Amino acid sequence: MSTAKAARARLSTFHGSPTFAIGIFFTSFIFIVALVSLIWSPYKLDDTTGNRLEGPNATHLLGTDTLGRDLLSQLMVGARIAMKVGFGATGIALIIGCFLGLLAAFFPGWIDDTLASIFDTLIAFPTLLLAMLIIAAEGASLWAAILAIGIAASAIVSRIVRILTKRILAQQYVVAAKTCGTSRWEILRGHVLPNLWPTLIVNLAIIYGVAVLTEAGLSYLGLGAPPPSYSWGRLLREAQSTVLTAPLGAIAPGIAIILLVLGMNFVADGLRELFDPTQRGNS
Amino acid sequence: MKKSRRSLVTAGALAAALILAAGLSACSSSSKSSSNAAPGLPTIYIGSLYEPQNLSNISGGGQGINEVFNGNVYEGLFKLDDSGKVENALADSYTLSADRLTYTIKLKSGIKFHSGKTVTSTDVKASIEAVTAKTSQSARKSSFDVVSSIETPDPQTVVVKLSAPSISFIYNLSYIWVINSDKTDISTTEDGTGPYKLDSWVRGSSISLKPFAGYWGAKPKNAGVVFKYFTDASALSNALLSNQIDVITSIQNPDALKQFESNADYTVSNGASTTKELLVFNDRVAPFNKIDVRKAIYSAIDRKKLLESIWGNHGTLIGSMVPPTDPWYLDLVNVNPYDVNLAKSLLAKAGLANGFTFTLDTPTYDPHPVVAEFLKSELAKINVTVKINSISADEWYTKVFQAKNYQATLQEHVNDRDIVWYGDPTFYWGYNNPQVTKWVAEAEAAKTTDQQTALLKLVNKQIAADAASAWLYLYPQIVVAKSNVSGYPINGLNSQFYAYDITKQ
Amino acid sequence: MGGEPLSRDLLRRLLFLVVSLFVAVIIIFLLLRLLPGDPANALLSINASPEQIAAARHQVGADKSVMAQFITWMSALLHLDFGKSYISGLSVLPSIGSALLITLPLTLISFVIAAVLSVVAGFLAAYYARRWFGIVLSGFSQLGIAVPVFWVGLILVWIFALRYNWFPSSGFPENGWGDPAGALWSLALPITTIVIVMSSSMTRYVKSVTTDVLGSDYIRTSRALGSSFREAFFRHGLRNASVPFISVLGIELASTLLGAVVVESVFSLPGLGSMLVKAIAQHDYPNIQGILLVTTFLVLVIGFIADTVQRIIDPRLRITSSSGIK
Repeated sequence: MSTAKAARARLSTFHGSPTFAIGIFFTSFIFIVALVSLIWSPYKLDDTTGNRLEGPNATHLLGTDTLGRDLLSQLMVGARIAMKVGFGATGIALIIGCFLGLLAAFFPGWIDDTLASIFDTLIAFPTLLLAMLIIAAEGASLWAAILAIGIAASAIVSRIVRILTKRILAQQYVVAAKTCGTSRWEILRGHVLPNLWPTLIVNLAIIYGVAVLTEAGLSYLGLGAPPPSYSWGRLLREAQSTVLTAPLGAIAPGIAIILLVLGMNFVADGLRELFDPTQRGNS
Repeated sequence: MKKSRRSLVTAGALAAALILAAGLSACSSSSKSSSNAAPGLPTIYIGSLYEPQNLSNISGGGQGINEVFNGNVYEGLFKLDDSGKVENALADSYTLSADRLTYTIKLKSGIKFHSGKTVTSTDVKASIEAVTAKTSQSARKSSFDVVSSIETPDPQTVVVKLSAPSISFIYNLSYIWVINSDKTDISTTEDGTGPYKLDSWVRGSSISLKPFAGYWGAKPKNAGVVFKYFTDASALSNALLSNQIDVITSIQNPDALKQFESNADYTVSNGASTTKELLVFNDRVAPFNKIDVRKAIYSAIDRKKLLESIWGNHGTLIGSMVPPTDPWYLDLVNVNPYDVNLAKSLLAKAGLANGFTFTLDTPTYDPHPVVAEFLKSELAKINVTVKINSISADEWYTKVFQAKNYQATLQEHVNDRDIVWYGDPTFYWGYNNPQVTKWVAEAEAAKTTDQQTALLKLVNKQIAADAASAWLYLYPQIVVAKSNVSGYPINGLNSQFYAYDITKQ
Repeated sequence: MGGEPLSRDLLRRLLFLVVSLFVAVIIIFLLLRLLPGDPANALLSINASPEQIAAARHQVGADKSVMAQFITWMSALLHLDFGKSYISGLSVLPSIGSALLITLPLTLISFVIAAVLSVVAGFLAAYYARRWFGIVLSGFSQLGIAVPVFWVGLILVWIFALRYNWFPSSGFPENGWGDPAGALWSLALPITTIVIVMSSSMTRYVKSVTTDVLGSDYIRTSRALGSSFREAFFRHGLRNASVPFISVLGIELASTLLGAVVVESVFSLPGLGSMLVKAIAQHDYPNIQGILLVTTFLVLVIGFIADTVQRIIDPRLRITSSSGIK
């Protein structure tokens, strides 16, 4: 409890961790770009008035693609897709993971045993493979990709929730509360959740980055959202053939992905340091 | 001090890795040159995007099998040379009866299959029947509907009787490979008569051909050819840039062309193409059953800009299904000019002044997705909304080609002389103009090629006037090779690629 | 104590492996059976007649109930019959075998190089944590885990294959490993790509483990007692650090395999990954099923081996069951 409170206090300042500050800077930059693209982008996506493969210039800051469309505008819309993927997959992982993890922790016995071995199997399973399986069955689409990544990541969340909750439930004061007749719901709200969320949030930030990377990989392989889609992975796939003429088309989406994923990883590291100052310099 | 020692170790490890890599490079270049079987003659590496699905051209091998096998491994009675002229191949001569219904074809004598068996008229009969069989998936199957019987009076003679005169019959025969009739599995092995036999096929990677010692004609000018397959156009052109292949059968990436054009180490040859990119309307369904709607859509598309986007300054605009190399070509590009106002008024005339929405079934491979996105933005100008539905190649066959369950689609049509499909109302695009059907039938029954040409010119004009489909552009046919390589075909007619004359200094 | 707990534990883990495999088989079967459309379509020609459609449905078993299909499929699997590709008509298992000839060497070579590199780099990054050298190493490893693996491949191709022509941009020798130097040569850039990405996450891990060990009580104690740092580190630290590291190695090996799947596509290598991507695009279900099964099998076996090795080194793990704290 006290760690959570301390963390909240530290969150108000960035003094606790420069890593965290950098991470927040990178990610919020992409967030803002995604938000701005909702109301404004330099060109409309179907505006083909530019010339073929223009280099960076005053009217097209990052140049154009083969159809003469503005690359910067596509990249901005791509940020929005990355947001959907990141939040969508993390959200799915959080919901499924918390539900299953708490279920396992609160019901020791065969429920716990079965669920635990399922989590173990799923964790051994690389996210990309699971995603490919679901996409092979569902057909390629953005939501299939998000769902697949979310389900794969939910195993990680489940395991964390399960282990942490068990640890908390085994604490003396919780056991005492239980014997006093406090209901499961109250224990959950009063003891489990407040101690759970710091670790959870750190891991969700990591999952967010993995989700963005995985979706980019799927789109690059042609297994993500079908065209017209402006996922960064898809943009990379298309720019691949023109890398000699217009290298920026292949470089820019890559850097966008790195900024967001690196930012999220920094946020995770920073949060870990903030929640547990002994971890400082140990990420 | 400790620090510097440790970083030295790391540096040493890195250096060792680099030396190892450099050593490997030396090994690999020496092993390449020594692996050539016949001294003096080079092995030619040919890069292509079209790996066949299997080795048969009558069970869905795709255009790739034509490219690697036609004229190289298998031969027909007749063959098309690179300019499209029909020549005798296994046929020595033929005669046509006065009623133009009976072809008597004499075979060259002493021709052997790769297995050693001598070619007889029985093999020819079996090969034709395999194409016309019920289970055949040959795209040319219906061209042989006119065949009523095939007789083999002696091992060197084939007599084919037709139910109606067919002026393209000999031309069509050039599509039929003569295959050993004893051979049961032709999807993973071969037994043909060509100058090469199959050496090995590494799926997903390459097909190697080696010269056939018992070939009846001139020996190949190389020690064998390897067709190397790539899954995307840029990987293919990169392979030529990084010296893995000698020649690209048909380049599909205009941006790589700049690298080749400005470099004396490469030769870029522009051949005549027969591959057309089509926006195909389902002419049976509303609103595309109205000529004005089709014409409106066609006129709303800036094809010049589209061609430039996809191909830079390469490729040709066309106004109908006919490429300039077909005898019945006419310049019809301006029959449906790019004119947004005209398009709007045509739509208004058809009662769709407020536009409409249609689904465009788009194959997932290049260039179709980009073309679809371009069409979407072009047609938005006349209030027509395009919904892009991505489908795989096999879905395209079942949904669009077979079930004809679609509104509009994109497809490339590679063959020459394929305007005749507009005379078939049951074809997937469902264009049904009885006059055109009649002309196409009359052209096929024509006595002379002049008559045939005159009739097909009428067809050509009519389908353009009706905007039966929207013919977007003719692909360029560009062969790029290293400058020290010569003897390759440049037209790639019907995607064939005769390899036997290719050689390297 | 002695040998028995280990063998009993091993048996239990083995049982767990078999059950996991069985669950994976069911999941793969069900997911692919729920597909929209008819798998028979892939077999048909453009002008198929109703009889041909019926024959094709019979051939793929689509005319039978799901349960009957599953039983047929399972019994075929037990005889190692993975069926035939709809598209090429080839048996699935031999095709997978020849694809593995590329994927496995690519994975293993990359993995060994990445593991060695990351042990060295991770240790140095921890040891020199406060000097520029360690900071740079940590920075690179941070960057490495945020980079999409295919993007690294793309950039390497652009620079080393297209600009400078040092390495082939793609492909594999047509006679495969018959030309070992050529084969290794065409794997050079793909391996580098995987090593860059995989060594980053492992370096991070090695660094954090080493930092723990360096700061641990027994190192400090034994140094205070006069033994050299080297002795203390190797005698106590290494053993303690290696146990969790082995399980990480297991997971990393599995992700290297998957990294290879993506990288193969970048470099047009005819391995398992290219085969899977192509099979998904062509709806070639026998191939998809076969590849997913084999990959799952490999991933689970890798996990099993890592687990077992871990338990041999550290007997304490054998007592705690997989379901952890009770």
